[in-house]
Amino acid sequence: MTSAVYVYGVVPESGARPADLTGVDGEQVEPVAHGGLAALTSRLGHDALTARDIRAHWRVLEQVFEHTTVLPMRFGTVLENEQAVREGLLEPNAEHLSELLAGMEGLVQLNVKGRYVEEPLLREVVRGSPAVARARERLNKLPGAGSPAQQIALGQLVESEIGRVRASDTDAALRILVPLAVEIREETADHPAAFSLACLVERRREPELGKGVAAVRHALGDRVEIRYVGPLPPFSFAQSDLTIGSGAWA
Amino acid sequence: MAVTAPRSGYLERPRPSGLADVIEVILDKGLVIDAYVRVSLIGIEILTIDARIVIASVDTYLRFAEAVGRLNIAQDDQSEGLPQLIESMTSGGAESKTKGAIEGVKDKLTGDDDDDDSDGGSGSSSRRSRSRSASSSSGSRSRSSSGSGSSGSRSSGSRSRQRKDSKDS
Repeated sequence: MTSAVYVYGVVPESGARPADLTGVDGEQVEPVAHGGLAALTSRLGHDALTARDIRAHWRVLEQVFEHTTVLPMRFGTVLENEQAVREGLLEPNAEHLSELLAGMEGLVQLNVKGRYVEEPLLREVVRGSPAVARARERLNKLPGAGSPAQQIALGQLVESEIGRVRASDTDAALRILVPLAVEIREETADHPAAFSLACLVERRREPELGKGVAAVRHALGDRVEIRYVGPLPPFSFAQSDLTIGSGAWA
Repeated sequence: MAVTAPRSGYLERPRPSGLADVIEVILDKGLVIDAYVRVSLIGIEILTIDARIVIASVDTYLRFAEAVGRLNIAQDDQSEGLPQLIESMTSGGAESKTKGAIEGVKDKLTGDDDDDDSDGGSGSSSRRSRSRSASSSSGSRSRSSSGSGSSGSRSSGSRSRQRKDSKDS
């Protein structure tokens, strides 16, 4: 396959950029500019992306993000050539991308993820549900801790109560954090995750969010382990479906 | 629910984002072109919906019943012997036996710096329990609030909360 163009993201054409940036396959990252925007690209000589390329993709964005606003592309965006990038990606979407880019200026994403620790969670379930507490006591007194059917019924009840606790804990976290962010996106969290929040904040106001995260930790106690990660380019907030002009496929 | 304030001035510093922390966003979020070059992803399992392990299974219910039965709760009867007590104290935070395919992918990808096909099993348990927005080149199954969201998202899917006052422009 002839060489194609890998696209990492879109930055302001006049934005600062790290020198000597290399990406996938160690190829030099070059801007392709149009209308005040620049797509960051590199030549791609093969058509099979691997896990190592994910790292390269991330490292490029991470470094660029230290210097300028960037709208990250989803991993795996490859176009036929530079012309396709300019005429197929940037030109048809120029207005939308410029608006997005301007809107993201000075903003960073921080992820707040809560994960349940099972034993304290189950204690909270028992504490909050007399039905679970009763069923639990009853089964513990039976030989073999009850029949499989009884255990399944208890397990279903516990699962439903976990859902209730999760909803309540998520609301508590949001009530603390929403006033501290420009926007928060709550992503689906399946057990044992408690919540997964993408928070968009002004870079200079990140410490306030940090205080909020400390308060969430304090509010939820030992049943939730919290991971607080960032700052990241605004992946979760720069989501858009872009249309490609015709003839852009490689 | 009342929120007690932490000691004043205490704040959390965010951890720097390692690859494991960001892999979901890289694969699932960001600008997307509605269809692009068909680039095959090798070394990365392409996930299908069937590969997901859903929590509502009998095994899970039995496990919950057992785990809640094992809890040492003070006002319960005192018949729990010492060995059981120790066991219930040390078994907290049990990992789910059901490890979704996405977690397997992430382990592969984040295990070490070498090439992709080495076993990445050194991941900590916190990596394995991330939310399961899967990646697939045919479009995202992420249920965050994006225009490209798939159908069939649960009602507990993403919500977007915003401050009433917008940022200064």
